[in-house]
Amino acid sequence: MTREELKSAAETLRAASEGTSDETLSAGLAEQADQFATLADADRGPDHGRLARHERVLSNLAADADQETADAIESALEDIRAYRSTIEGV
Amino acid sequence: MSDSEYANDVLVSADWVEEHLDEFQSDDPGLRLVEVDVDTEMYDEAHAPGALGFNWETQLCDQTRRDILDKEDFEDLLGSHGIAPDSTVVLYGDNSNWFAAYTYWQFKYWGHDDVKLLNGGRDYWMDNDYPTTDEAPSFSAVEYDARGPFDGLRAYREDVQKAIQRGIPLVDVRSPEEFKGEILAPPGLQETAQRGGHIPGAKNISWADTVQPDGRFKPADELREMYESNGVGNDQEVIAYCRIGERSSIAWFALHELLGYDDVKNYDGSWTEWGNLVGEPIETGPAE
Repeated sequence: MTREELKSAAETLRAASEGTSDETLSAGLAEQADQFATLADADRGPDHGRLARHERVLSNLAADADQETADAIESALEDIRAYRSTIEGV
Repeated sequence: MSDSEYANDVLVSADWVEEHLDEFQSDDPGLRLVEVDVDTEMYDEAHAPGALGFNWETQLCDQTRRDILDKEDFEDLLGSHGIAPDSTVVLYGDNSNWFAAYTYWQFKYWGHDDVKLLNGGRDYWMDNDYPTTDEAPSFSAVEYDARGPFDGLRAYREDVQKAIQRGIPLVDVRSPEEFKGEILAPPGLQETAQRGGHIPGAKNISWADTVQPDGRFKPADELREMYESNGVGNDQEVIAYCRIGERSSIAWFALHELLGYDDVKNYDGSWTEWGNLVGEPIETGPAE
């Protein structure tokens, strides 16, 4: 079962990675895209702690990005938050 | 056993745990491994061989008093699972070790000296294909007498009131959105408060900035630089808080255990207490 929100986040991050000329930023986004693609189809979905780590990494990447890339990262973060709202926690 | 760069020998690697799996599976209480989860279905499916499984909500909290375990319950929990006062206990768990770190702090509060965290937690163990089993171990019960409490590790609301008055650093480890008051809790998490925002004067230093992308802690020099550049040094008392005290246990561990700061308290009442208090001030918006 594919987790559609995480798949969407992966695709958004992949496109953002390919769209920026900043090589460091591009590599960071590609790494995140790879991880979300894996998480989208993993046997068990990620928990809040893992997703919070990803959110922090993405926020730090957005802080150094141009506006277009930052907007794409924010779109991916919205997908991640939407997924988090579906998983249990205390 | 662990990275010597840290102030205390309290962090073990997955490789070290793997090398000692036979001892963790032995009835000899010298070494014990404990997985602490909120979602214990994950433990049931797979965990490190020899690891006991503790449910944070039902076994490490007093849900009636809304508190940590009292001394008798703590002693019963450990003794009945074959953990002796001189056992070396390695903790790890789900949610990036949030609840394992909370448990570590509670072990220290009740005076268990030799406790360690598995660096990277359950995610790191599973992601890197270390051995797993679905068999839960059973160890002979032992006597456990706790030495604690050690209240110097725990902040109560009165400590926070005094900290505000005295300008003692309060480290809010939640997300910027929680800190600013835009949300009451991360999406999907149940416990919230009536008000959004932060304790007046608090600094927002995310728990997530203490760890690398793979969940293992950052090196000591990076942690020290992060805290000191935010005005949090080892020259005064520090109080860490979050929403329910679990994420702040990560920051408490980084400051008190890894960096060796002398006086760090975890405010486990955290925002679910402070944000609900009548007559206490809060601030909203970004940190000053």
